[in-house]
Amino acid sequence: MVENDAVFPGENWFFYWKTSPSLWESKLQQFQGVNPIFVPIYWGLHSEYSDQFDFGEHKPETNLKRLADCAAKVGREVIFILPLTPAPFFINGGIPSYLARNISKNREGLAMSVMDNTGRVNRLYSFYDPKIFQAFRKFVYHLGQYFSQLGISSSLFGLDCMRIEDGHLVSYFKDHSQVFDGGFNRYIKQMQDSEPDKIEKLIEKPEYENDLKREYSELIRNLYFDSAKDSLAGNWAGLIKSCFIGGSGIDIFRRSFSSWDSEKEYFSPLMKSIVNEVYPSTVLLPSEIKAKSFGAATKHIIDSSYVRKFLSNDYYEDDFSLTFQPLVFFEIVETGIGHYDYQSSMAQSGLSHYFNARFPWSFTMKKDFVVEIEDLDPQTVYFFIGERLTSEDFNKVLKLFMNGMRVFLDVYEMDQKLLQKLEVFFAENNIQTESVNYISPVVKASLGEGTIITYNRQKLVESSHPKKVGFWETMIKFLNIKHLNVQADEGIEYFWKSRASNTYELSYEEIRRVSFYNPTSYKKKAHIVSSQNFAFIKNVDQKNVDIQSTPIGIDVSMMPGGSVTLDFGFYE
Amino acid sequence: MKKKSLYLLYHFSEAPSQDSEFASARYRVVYLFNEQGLLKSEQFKKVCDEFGIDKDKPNIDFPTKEELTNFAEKLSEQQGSHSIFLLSVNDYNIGIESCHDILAFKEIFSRYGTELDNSSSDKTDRGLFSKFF
Repeated sequence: MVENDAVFPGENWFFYWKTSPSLWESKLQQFQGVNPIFVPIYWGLHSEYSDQFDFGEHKPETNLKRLADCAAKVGREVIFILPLTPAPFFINGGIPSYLARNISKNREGLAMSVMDNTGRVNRLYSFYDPKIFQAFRKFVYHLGQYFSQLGISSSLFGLDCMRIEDGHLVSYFKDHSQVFDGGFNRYIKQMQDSEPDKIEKLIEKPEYENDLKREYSELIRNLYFDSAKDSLAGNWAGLIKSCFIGGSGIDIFRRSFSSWDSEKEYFSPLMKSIVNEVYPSTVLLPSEIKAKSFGAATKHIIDSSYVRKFLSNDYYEDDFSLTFQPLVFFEIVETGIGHYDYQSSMAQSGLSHYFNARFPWSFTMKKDFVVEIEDLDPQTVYFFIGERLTSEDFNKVLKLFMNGMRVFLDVYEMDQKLLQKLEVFFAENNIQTESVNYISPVVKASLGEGTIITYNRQKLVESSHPKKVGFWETMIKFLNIKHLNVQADEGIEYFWKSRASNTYELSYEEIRRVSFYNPTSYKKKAHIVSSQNFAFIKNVDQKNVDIQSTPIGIDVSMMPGGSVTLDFGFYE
Repeated sequence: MKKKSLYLLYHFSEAPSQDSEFASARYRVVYLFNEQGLLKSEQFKKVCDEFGIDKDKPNIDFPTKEELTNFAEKLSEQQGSHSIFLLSVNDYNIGIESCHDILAFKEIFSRYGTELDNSSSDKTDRGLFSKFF
């Protein structure tokens, strides 16, 4: 392995413990990748023994002040990252080895283990172990003291490490081991005195146990979060959720077979993290996997502007409209209390299939949604699941509608009071509605640019697959979304980005960029259908690809491992 | 891991849990794969039919180890693989404790699991051999 791959194993992650401190300055100076640079803090390195902490006193590689100074000297911005969950890229998930006793388990009961980019197997231990929490609290206290006493001013984010399991994002904090069960049982015992009503509910409804388990999990998670935030208040900048591609339960088996371990397996997890607004990381993957189209895709997606936008909450105030960002037409708003499987709902109604076919990866799953009027993009279409709506969420739907936004509302199992409230709202405001029965009863209400379309998901679930897709095609066509149609061979991966036009592109309102990748071993083709309102501008980063422009569109012929990016100007 | 073999990782449930799906099943297939990747249910449709397994269900369950073994042997035969390795989640968890790298991990099925040879595969080989010599 090249030394730089060990020190910079992917994107902007800097593994300071993998090289000599005497080389930190030159490594940081030579780094050509994304900025700012993420520096994950390796707890196990700084605290080898109980109640002993080393920040440069004994081992020079633990001197974080020196690291921050090196970065400042060469003009690099570093952000310290403190894992608040087991971190798959560290030995023992980052905890000191004296604490590595109770291994964490996944849903299938398998001991959590991950293969890193060097082929080393890292076992992850349960953060529900009280000894780990006690030691963590001491560690972050000493870390906070060290940062403040030595005047380290770099920002520090907490890190929630995640992976994709069966298409769903799962935190490494989640644990199904006996340690979790032991802690949960203690929690229940304690609850018998403090919250007897919950215990009664549990006796009546045994399935309520899952809700309580989530509640307990959240409680412990908050203990880690709060102790880190309090101890590092001077540097604390927030929480980053990062998805470690190649870190799922099946990936360790995949990595054992070179004939199975191919780059095409990792595109979907990469895009799933983008769609879920979780920072993707490829640090677990070996450089061979990232040598061709997958590597090109990660570089195209995770660039400096993406990182800065990702960290933008009150941290950066840059204007991102002139930099390419993932193109989003649809936001699926996650509302309500407790767990809900939005992806299943989308799949059952045929919406996922429709998005994948027509607007691949051009949607986001939106958590903690707040309606900020000045940030609303008129191009975005919002989806709400009625059965998850609280009264407060319902007001968000109306607020979006009143501000000219387009909203789909699934009324299946929606609270009757809210349904009545919606009808009263339409009547009181003289809002005309149109009703049709097309697979599901569909009601459309309009007010200026604002549109609400209600439908019943259950009616779609009962329908055949072509009918579901036909339903969504008709509904979305109605919204007149202007976008280019792509016809791509199976196996080709592509995604869209967009940005506002600059002063040299005044004929266009927006620039849309599509990037194609061929991770298969075969020659593949894609075709972009010509459309009004779009003009082809240029192609960039063409590798093993032939492009031909014809009156009906653009033909892209891709050799294995090929990739290309095409820019189109959009005008009204 | 040995080439041209199948690998089956299964979960053994000591006692029926509250999960109604598990209540009647004690052996559940967690992963089933070969060196090319996970086996899709359509790749072993015939074996599923033979064992009365509903392919539309997300899990493949067996009430006894014997039935799981029979299924594995039949699958190995149908797929034309040399053998199939069976490994329980418990044994995997013991094995992973001593796996520090990819080389050790590749041995986990052969060191901690059970290998069932596909006798018909040997017979086929012998037949082919005798054709030419």
